Amino acid sequence: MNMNIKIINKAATVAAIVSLVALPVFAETATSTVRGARAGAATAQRVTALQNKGDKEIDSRVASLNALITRIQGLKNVNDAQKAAIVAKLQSLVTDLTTLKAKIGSDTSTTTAKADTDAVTQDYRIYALAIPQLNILAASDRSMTIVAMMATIEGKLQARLSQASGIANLSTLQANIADMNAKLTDASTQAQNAVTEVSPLVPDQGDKTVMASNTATLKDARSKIQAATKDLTAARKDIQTIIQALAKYEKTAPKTKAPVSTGTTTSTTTAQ
Amino acid sequence: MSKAAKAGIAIVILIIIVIIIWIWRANSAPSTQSQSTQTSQTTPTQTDQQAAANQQSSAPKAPDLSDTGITAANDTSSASLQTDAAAVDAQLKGLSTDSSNVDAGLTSGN
Repeated sequence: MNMNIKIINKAATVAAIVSLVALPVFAETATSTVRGARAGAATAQRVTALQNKGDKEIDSRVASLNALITRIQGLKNVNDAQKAAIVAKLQSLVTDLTTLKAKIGSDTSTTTAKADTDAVTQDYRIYALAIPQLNILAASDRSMTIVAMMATIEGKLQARLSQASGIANLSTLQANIADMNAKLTDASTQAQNAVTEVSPLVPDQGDKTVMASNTATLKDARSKIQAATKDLTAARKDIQTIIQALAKYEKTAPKTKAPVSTGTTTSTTTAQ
Repeated sequence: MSKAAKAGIAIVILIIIVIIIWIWRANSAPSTQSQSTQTSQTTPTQTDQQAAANQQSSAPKAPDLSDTGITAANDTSSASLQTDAAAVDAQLKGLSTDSSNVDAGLTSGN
């Protein structure tokens, strides 16, 4: 009897030991399956995250490029051939980015998805070069338009002042005209120089030296646009000063007011 | 001097003149040919004309103020000046937007 009990105990012990060893083996197999599934899910999650990031980066760039296309088409001092060339370039970028977006959308590995997402910023330099470069062109173009507009106004103010016999502070008003002319000349120069400066820039293709040079050039061109803007704002103040003086003159000396031409109110094509 | 001598002298002078003219024409002939060559070289081909047309089309364009709101240059009335000033203000506002876009482009990265 005792012998049987001992055998049973031993068997139980062996069974217990076997179970202790065997259970982890079964558990390990189950865990591997779960881990595999989890890893797959994690990869898919990372790919999705990269795709979302890529989509966002591309969408914002495409929106900026489309806005820029509209702006370029509205430029006034660039001929149609030049505009068409710029717009074609921008539309080509939009097409490339759209194609890249589709590729990112079909990526299944994190490596490919990451490489494609990185390409959005590294290969195209939309924000680093293309957009600031063309915005400088647009700002310069508008500056030149304003210069031409103000030059037209300056002619009118000169005509009015020559007719305003006895107007107060004529010499000061003439100084305003002179200041305005100087500001318009400088604004024109600054705007033209900004375009000349940024026109030859090309994408850096990952070359950090070229990238630094491009950035420095763009910043310098921006400072020129800022200077032109400052000039034009000052010239606008000169215009306002003279218009106010003429209005005051009209009120105080209505009988001496010289007759003014009231030509057609259609738009003028007077150019600088 | 006899008539024959006079006639001889006249003939000699005539011959000399003819020779001078012949030499002059002979010398000027290559020049003419050169001019002709030069002309043919400078005559624009269809391609050249196209290139010239392209170059002309690439020339800087005079500012077009047609839809800026500015009034005719010969309208110097006060109302016109007010309209022109407002048109300039609108363009200055646009310039401010353009400048902001430049800034945004330079600060937003790649």
